[in-house]
Amino acid sequence: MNNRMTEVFRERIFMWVDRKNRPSNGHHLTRKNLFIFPSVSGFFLVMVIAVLWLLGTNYQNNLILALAFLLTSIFVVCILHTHRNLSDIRIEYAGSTPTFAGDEVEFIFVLNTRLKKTVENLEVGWQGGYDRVVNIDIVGGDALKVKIPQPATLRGWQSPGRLLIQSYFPLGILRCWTWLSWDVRALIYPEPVASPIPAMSQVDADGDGLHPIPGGEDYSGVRHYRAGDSLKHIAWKAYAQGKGLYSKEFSQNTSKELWLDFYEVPVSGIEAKLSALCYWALQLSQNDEDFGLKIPGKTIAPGRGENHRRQVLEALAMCES
Amino acid sequence: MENSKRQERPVAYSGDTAGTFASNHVSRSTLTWIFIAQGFVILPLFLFLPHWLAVIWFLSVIVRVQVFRGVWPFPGNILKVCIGFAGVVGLYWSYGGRVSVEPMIAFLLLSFVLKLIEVRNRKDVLIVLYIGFVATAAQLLLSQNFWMSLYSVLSCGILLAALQSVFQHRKISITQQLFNGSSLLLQSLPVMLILFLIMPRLGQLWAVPSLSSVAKTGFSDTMSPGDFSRLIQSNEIVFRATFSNDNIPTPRQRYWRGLVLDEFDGVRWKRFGSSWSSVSSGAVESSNPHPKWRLSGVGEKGNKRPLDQARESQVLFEYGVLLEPHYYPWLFSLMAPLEAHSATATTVFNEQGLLVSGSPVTERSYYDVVSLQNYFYGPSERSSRELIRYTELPTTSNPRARQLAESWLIEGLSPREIVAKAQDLFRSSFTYTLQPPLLGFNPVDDFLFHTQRGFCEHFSSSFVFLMRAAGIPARVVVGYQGGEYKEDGRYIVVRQSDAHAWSEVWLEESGWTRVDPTAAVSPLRIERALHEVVDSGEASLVGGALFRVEALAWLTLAKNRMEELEYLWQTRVLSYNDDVQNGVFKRLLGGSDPWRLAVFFVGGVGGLLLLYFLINQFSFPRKSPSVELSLLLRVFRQLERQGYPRGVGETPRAYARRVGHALPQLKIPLEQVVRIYYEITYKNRTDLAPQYRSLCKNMHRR
Repeated sequence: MNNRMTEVFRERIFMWVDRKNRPSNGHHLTRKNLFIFPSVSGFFLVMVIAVLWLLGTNYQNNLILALAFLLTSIFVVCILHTHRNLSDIRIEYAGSTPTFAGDEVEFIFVLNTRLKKTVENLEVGWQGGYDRVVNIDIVGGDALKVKIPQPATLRGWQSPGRLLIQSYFPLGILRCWTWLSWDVRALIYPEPVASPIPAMSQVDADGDGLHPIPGGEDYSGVRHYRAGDSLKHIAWKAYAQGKGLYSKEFSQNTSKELWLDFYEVPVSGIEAKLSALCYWALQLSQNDEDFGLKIPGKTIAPGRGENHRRQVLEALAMCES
Repeated sequence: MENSKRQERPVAYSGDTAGTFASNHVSRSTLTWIFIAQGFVILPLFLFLPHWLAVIWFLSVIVRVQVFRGVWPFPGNILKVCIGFAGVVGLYWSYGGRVSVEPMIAFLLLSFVLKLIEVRNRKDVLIVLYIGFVATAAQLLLSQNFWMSLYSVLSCGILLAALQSVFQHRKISITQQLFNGSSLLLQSLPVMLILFLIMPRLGQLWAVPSLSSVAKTGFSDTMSPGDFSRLIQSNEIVFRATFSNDNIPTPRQRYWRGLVLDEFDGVRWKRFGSSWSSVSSGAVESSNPHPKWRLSGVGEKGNKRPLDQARESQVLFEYGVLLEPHYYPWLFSLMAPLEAHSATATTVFNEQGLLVSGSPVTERSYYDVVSLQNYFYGPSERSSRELIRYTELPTTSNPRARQLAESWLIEGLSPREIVAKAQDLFRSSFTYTLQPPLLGFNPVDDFLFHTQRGFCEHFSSSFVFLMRAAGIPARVVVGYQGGEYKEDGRYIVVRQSDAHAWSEVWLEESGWTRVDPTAAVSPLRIERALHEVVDSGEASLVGGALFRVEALAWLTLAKNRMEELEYLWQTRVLSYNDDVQNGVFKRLLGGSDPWRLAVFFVGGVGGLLLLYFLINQFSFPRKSPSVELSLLLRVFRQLERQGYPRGVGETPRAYARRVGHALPQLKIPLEQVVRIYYEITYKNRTDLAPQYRSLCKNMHRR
């Protein structure tokens, strides 16, 4: 019951907060969206002040009373300092890193202050219990790019939720914070899972197809050495002549084009199938091979290169079925 | 555009500083700051507390450093309990199980120091540093002088610097950090002063254990040989008396009575019944003279006058005394006190005309006294029973002195003549010296007939002996004589080196009368400071001798300045109480009603906030935009109100294009405005200004 009450209460608070901070691409921290309240240690200090006041009163000691008043006054002044530390910061969304599910997606923000002040010890993190807080300082007048990680659990579009920005500077007795909503989302690719795909490619009996696949018996030429190439395939003769490092390529021609087909993946479950396809798409891209993709509702013609790879991964991420 | 010009420095990445670990980590610099702050705060406490606590602190620092370096692990719970228990046992052993303030402070210090060992995260650091403020308060509890207060302000500054360092992971130099801390302190001072002035002062809420005696200074209730020479060597201030009217007593009148000694055991003088009766026995409240004094005024012809008449017509001394703690109950006043008041202590008059405090003076106390200059004091009948004990002497000792006194009686001299005779005796062949020879079993005889060299204690004690032997009631009075008058502050400083003993004899025609036999031997002693009177060989025996060396004149000056500062501190700050507060309110606000205070507080704090706001305004002057720009910004503001916020670094042109896209009906005029704005600003086409202005106005009307 109690738990539900607090839940409802939280809900209410965040509805109110979200009304104040409309989702947007950029925010400006001002009086209107910053909150400030004593922290736990702040209440501890209040206790210390009370003890000092009692001590000063009971011993009729003016100096101890003065000390208690000094701490009270510091408390008051600290409100201004803590607030000033956060106010007038501009924070803008600058993109996100491509990420596979199960990994961490990093949202990139640019923070800057117009004033000459230095913002001390900002803690920035996503609301919702991720233990990933970024501690940053912003030197006055400078812009700062920050990556704020969030676990990516599911493929598809991920909205980051509220960004918590807080600071306890200077004395730790007050916490000034804000929750910012963002009108942004990041695309999460399926988690690559290694699994076999039979009949992924078929070698033509004639041996003269259009698309060579590597690893065959026929010598097909040389290309620049790439990390990971087998030592056996290095063209040592060319290397000895001082021409540089080359790999010999062998290939067999396939009669059919190479297709990654959703319906032929021998695992059950949509996500598992997509994961397998993702794995193979990455593998093939790494090997710089042509391949096409067939998934429900979308077909991508065979191709290669970075653009093709991204296209395939995006199709896998957004596959709806 | 604006952004791309700036150099973007990626500093924080998820990998290096992320995680709550980074927020809670106790860094090397934080640790160093804790050591500095803690060491600074607890240093003065060792003046009052057992020194082995310093060793414990030192060990704790070593342990913590080793833990930080990863050499040792954090101590386990059992070990911590053992260390704590050992510490408590040590305290019990040091203080013998007494419950007073010092053991409690020592306990606080012990836990403060031991907490250091288990500082793991930021929360612990904060707790340690907050307790630092309590330790500062403890230091103020033990010592309240000006320099200690200044020291505690410094401690606060360092604690604040340390606190700030916890929340800063930039590299900041120590001096910069200290500067930050002290600037925070300075900014807080105004509000603190307001609070100090207006917060109501309550009395003690409950009884608290008092500070146990540190070291008693001044007189005890006996006068034995050697007491005075010890006091005279001290330059410590006993009290300061500020005179509120124009009546400043002449040096001859500055006899500050402290204690009456009326019992002689052959060697030493002591207070009657000193072992069992308190000095305030039979005392009455000090708002009126004690009825047993039978105090009355003296008219111009030497006749008695009723007291209230005398009060009106005669010269009165009105003064406030700020007394340093001496841990005895006696207070000091000029004869004859008529009334005394104090906000901090209970003051009473006892039967011997003394002003006494209800409890030992353990902290600086302030009391006001009104004293009458010419008075008649004491019973008017010789046969009065209370005079009998003032003629008692031990029966066997000092036969020659007795003989002398009896010879005076046989001659048939009146008491007044006997007093004069004895003074003549001292004047004829005695010497005032601070290095008297030792006296034997009959000290009075030895002094009167052999050595004849001594100072006030010898003169007064032998004089009273002679008087009693001659049947005249007499007693020894100890207190202070003289004091240095400070012209600018209208106050008199009395030091331990002004300690003096004199005598009072009862004469039929004038009651109790002060007779100072020392004045007969060395009249200058009464007129001048002691060190000016004794010869150069002995001057070094008087307190503060070092400061009188010519070459160190500046030191004397500095010392005087310090003492004056201290005095101001005492009177203005430490004795600021309810009464003074009301006085301040009356002067400042015309009353101390709650609403006046509220107005003052709100006005004061509000005023400070306003000041802060104004300073911010002036220290970051906004560049005033050109006419064209402000017109453009007005147009943009209007669009922003309609729900098209302008992004950071978005140029007017890009913004106009974006908004024009969303609001087609505005597309053309908006882009026109921006284009003309660029023309005016960057191509200096001032001729377009009228057109621009009318365009902007048109935009506003939409």
